[in-house]
Amino acid sequence: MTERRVLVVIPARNEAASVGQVISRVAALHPGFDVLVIDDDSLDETAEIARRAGARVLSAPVNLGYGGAVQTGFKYAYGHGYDLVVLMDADGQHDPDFIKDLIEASAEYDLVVGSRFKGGTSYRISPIRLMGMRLFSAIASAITGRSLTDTSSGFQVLGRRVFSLLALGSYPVDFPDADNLIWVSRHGFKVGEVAVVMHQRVAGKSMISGLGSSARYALKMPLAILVTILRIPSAEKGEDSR
Amino acid sequence: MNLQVRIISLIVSVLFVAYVIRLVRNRKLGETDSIVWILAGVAIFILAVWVKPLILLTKLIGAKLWASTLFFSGMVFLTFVTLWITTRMSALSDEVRELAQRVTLLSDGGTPGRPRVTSGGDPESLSKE
Repeated sequence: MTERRVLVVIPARNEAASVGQVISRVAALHPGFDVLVIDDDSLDETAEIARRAGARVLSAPVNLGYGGAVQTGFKYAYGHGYDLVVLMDADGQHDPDFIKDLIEASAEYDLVVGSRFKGGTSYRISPIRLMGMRLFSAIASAITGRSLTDTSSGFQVLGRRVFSLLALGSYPVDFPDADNLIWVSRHGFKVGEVAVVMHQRVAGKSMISGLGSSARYALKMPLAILVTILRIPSAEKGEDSR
Repeated sequence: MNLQVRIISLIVSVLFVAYVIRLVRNRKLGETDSIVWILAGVAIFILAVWVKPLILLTKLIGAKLWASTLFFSGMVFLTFVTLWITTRMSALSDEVRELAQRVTLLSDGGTPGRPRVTSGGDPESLSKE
């Protein structure tokens, strides 16, 4: 019986208003976990507040984008020999109470997604976006052969072999979504979901807001999924040397 | 092809190649990157001096005017150059991201952060059989 080393990865860009609270809650619930904040070139006090809350903070010199920041966290976890990565947002949408549910499910799955739609939880969202999310979830479910309801959720728990694969290989830069789940699944990993309640964000704004980025999302996602299907999976599962 | 067009083409191609060489000399353009442009300049020069291949090619592709052949081949050439440059850009942005991530990973030399417990919470053991 060996204790698993768990790293909580929190990508944050201008989340000074909420990041401290998120870290404190995680620390209260899981004192044994290490917390890593990837400060993605924030203009506010995100890094300072996160450091004061006790997290280790790595600051990006340029804007890496959400995916770039997350992948940096995976690289850190890979290099420091962690067994599990808990990925969550800094804006307070993801309730640390559910971390234990996700970790529990990680005994069965290689990648666990915290879904706000599984179990019919209510989450206020624009109908157009909801339609898009449903559509891409349906596509991802069809391709992976697993029931996925919330592919855009950034509340995930990843086992070592999965985050190693994503750390060393390619990872979508702007919004990892259904395409990433399909990619992971194509490598033979088990992807599963756990129902979580997501709060409305405490502060800041969504990555996908406004008509322009919604349209970009609607155009990019099918293309990203198509490319993921066509791409040749890495020869080795995770743990390859580079 | 009339003489006037040929003379202008000659002058343009010579000036173009000279400019490309100047850019390489001033280190504003890499030697390898300059090859494609020098070859393009040389091609224009050759076509201006020796018209036969162009007329032959015009017949071959079924065009009516040699000018159409020129425009068509110019467009094909530029399209491929642009595509090639885009692939170089993709590769470069991948490299820049990788570098930025490595800089990020080096941005703090300490040990992994373990937040202090500020409020009560029961520590749970995470063990896997």
